[in-house]
Amino acid sequence: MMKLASSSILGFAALVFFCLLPAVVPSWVAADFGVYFVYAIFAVSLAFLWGHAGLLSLGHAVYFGIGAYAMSVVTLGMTPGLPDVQSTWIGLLAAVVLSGCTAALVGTFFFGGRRPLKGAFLGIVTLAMAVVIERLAINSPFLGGMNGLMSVPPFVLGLNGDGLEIIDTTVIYYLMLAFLLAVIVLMLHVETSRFGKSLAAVCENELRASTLGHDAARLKIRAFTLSGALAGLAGALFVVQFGFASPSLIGFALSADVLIWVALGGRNHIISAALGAIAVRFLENRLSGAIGAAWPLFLGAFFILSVILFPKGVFGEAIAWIDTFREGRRVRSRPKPPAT
Amino acid sequence: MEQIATVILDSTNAILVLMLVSLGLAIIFGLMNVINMAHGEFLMLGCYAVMELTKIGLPFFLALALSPLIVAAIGLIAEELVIRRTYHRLIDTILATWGLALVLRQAMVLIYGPGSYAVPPPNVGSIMLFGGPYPVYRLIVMGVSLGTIIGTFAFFFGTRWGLAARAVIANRDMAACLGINTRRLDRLTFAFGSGLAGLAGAAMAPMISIDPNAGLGWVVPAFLSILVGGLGTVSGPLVGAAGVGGLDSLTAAFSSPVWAQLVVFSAAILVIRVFPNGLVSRRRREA
Amino acid sequence: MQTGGLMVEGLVAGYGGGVVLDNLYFAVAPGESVALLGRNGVGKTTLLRTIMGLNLPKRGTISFAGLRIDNREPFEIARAGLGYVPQGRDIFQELTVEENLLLGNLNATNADEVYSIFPALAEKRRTQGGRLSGGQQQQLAVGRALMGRPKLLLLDEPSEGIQPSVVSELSAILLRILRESGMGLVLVEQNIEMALGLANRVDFVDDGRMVASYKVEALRANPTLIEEHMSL
Repeated sequence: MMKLASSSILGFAALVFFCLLPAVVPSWVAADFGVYFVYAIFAVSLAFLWGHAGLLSLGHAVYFGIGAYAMSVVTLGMTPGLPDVQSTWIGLLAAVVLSGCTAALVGTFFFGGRRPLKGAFLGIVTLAMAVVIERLAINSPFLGGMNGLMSVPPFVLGLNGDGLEIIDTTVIYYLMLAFLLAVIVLMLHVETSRFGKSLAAVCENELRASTLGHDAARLKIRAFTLSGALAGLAGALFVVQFGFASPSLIGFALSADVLIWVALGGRNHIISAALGAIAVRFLENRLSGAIGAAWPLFLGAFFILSVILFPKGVFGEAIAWIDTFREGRRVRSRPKPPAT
Repeated sequence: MEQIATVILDSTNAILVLMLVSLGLAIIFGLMNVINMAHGEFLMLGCYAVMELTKIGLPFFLALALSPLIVAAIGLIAEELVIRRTYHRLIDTILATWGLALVLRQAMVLIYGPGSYAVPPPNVGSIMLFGGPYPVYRLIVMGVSLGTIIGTFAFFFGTRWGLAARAVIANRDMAACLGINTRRLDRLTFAFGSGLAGLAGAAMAPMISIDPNAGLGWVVPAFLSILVGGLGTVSGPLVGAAGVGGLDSLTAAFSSPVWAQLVVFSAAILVIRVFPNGLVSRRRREA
Repeated sequence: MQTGGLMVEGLVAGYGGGVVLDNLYFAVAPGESVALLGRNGVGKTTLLRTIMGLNLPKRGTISFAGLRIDNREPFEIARAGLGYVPQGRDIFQELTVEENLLLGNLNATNADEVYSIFPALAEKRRTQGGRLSGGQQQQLAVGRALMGRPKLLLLDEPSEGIQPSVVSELSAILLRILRESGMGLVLVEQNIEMALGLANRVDFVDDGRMVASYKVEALRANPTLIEEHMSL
C-alpha cells in the first residue's frame, strides 16, 4: 500500500472542506471562491516552475495574461480570419496552446545554448519581459489598449458559443474546483514521473545531473512550457468569470501577487501554493474592507516575516508539522528492541 | 541644431541619473550579495523627503543635501531589521526586498495618499547653451550626479575603507579572515547605496511627478544596466547605464517613450543573453 | 591545562548535511607549532576553516586564549589573534601587493615590516597580485596574514604548486619568524620535510578525528611511523 504524502493529506482535507463549503456560505461568497480556485491554478503553475524545477519567474503573469486575452479574443468572435468561431472550448485550447508556445519560445531563449540564464538573473530578465509585454498590450488597439477587452462571454457548454451558459455561481464554483483538482492531480503525477524526477535532479545539482545524462536545457524548456500552459489555462478560466481581460492581467502587479501567494503558501508543494493563493485572496477580500489601504502594507510585512522566519510558507510549515507528527507516531509505535 | 543639443543634454542628464541609481544597486549587490528590489522605493523616498523638507520651509538645496541622509538612515534601519537576516540566501534577498518595496510603497500611500505631488524647481533660471535656453537646474542635476559618481570612485580607490570594500567585493570570506568588519561594512554599504538612490530621487523631484509608484520605473532599467554592464567591477554598471540610458533617451526623442522602453528592454535582454557576464566583466559571478 | 592557546573539543562539523569532522579534539599551546598530516579528504582543511569561522560547527566548542570562538564571525576570530592563509592563497588578484598587505591591517601606515621579511615583495609593491609567480603569491599571502600580528597562524598547504627552492626559502623565513615572535603555528602540509622542519609536534588526522600525536623528534627518529599513518 502506498503511503500518502503529508501534503496529500492536507490536500484531501482541503478538498473535503471546499466540497462542503457552498452549503454553508452565501452564493456570492462561493462566486469569490470560483475566482480563488483559478488563482490557485496560477499559483500551481508557478510553484511547479519555482519549487520543483528551481526556476524563478518574476514575470509569470505574462502567460496568465496571454491565456486571458486568447480566450477573450476567441469567445468575442475576434479571431483574425475566423469571425464565426466563438467556442469556449476553442478558446481554452487557444489559451493553453498560445501561452504554452510563448513559454516554449521564451524558455528556449532563456535556457538554450551553453550558458543558460539562471537564478537571480533569470528572475530579473523575466521581470523585464513582463514589463515589456504589458507595455505592448497597453499599446495594442486590437487588444483594447489600456482598457482591454470587455464583455467576454461566460463559459458556454455548446460547441460554438451556443448551448448552455454557465452562470450559476454554485455550478461555476464546482467547475473551477474540478479544474483545480484536475490540475493538481496532473501535476502531482508529473512531479513523480521520470520527467519530474529528472527535473528535480537538475534543479538540485545541474552539473551532476548533466554528467549523468540529463539534458538540462530540454528539461527546463519543457517545464517552462508546461508551467506557461497552465498559467494560460488559469487566465482563460479567470476571464470567463470576470468578463474582461486587461493589461493588468499580464504585467508586473499580478506577477508580484502570484509570487507572494506561492511564497506565503509554500513553494515546495503545489498544494501548499494553491492553498496560499486561496488564503491570501480570501483574506484580502475580507480584510480590505476593514483595513483598506493598510492591507498591502500588512501583506508586505507578513511576507517579509515569512521569508525570514518560515521560508517553507504557512501551509508548507503545516505539512512539515504533519510530517514530524507522523514520524513521531511511527517511532513510538515501533516495537522496542530487546534490551541487550 | 538647438533641438539636437537639447536632446543630447537631456540624454546626458538621464544617463547620469541612471548611472547614480545603478551604481548604488551594483555596490549593494557586489558587496553584500543582496539583490535590492526596493531600490526604486528608496529613490521615491528621496523625492518625498525633499518635498517634505521644502514644505517645512528649508531652502531647496539644503533639502536636497539632507534628503539622501534621511533615506540612508531608513536604509540602515531596513538593513538591520530585514536584510541582515537574509544574507546567506540570494533568492531570499529578492523576496525580502520585494516585500520591503511593497511595505515602503504602501507606507507612503497611507501617509501621503496615492495621489501625486509636485515640487517646484528652485528659481535658478536658464542659460543659453548651444543656441537655445536650457534650464540651469538640469545642469545642476548633472553636476550633482557626476560629482557623486566621481566621489564614489575616489572613495573606492583612494581610501582605506574603499580598499576594504573592494576586498570584500572580490572575496568576502578572505576579507573577513583578515579582520575586516564585514557586518559594519554591510550596514554602511546598504545605507550608502540607498542614499545614492535617495539622492537621485531628491535631485529629480522637481522634474517628475511624485507619487508612491515613482520608483517602480527605475528598478528594472537599473538592474538591466548592471547586468548589461557586468558585475564584479565598479565601471561595469556605469557602462551599462550609459548604454541603457542612452538608447532609451535617443529612441524616446526620435520616436516615442513607449517604443523606447520596448526597444531598450528587448535590446538589454538580448545583450544579457549573449553576454551573460556583461560587457565589461572580468569575473564570473554566480547568481 | 593551558588557558591560552587554541582548544578544540568534541568538534562535529561538515558541509550541508554531511559530517567531515567527527568528535575531534585538538589543542595548541601558546607559541607551539603543530603540523597536521593525513591523507586527502580526512578533514584537515575543514578543521582550519571551521576554526576560522568560515564553517559553522554542528557540535563542540572552539576557544582561543580563553575566549569561545566557535560562535563568532570570521572577522572577530581574526581580531582575536588568529591569522589564516588558505589553500590556494586567496590573494586579491586585482589589487596590488601593497594593497593586499595593507588589507592585513587597516590601521597600519605601511607594510615595511613585511617588506623586510620578504624583500622580493618590496620590489613588486605596485604589481597586481594576480601577476605574481606562485612563490611570490605565497609570500604575499603569508605576509598579509603577518600584518595582523597574529598569535596563531593557520597555514593550509603553503608548498602546493611552488618550486622546491622557493619552499625551502619560505620555510627558513617562517622558522625565523616563529622563533623571534613566539607566534604559534598550525600547518597542514603534504610536504613532510617542510612539516617536520617547522613543527614541534605532529598530529595525524584520519576520518575526521585525531588519531595520533608525536613530538617531532620522535618522528625523526622513527620515520616509518609517518608511512604507517599516511597509508590506508
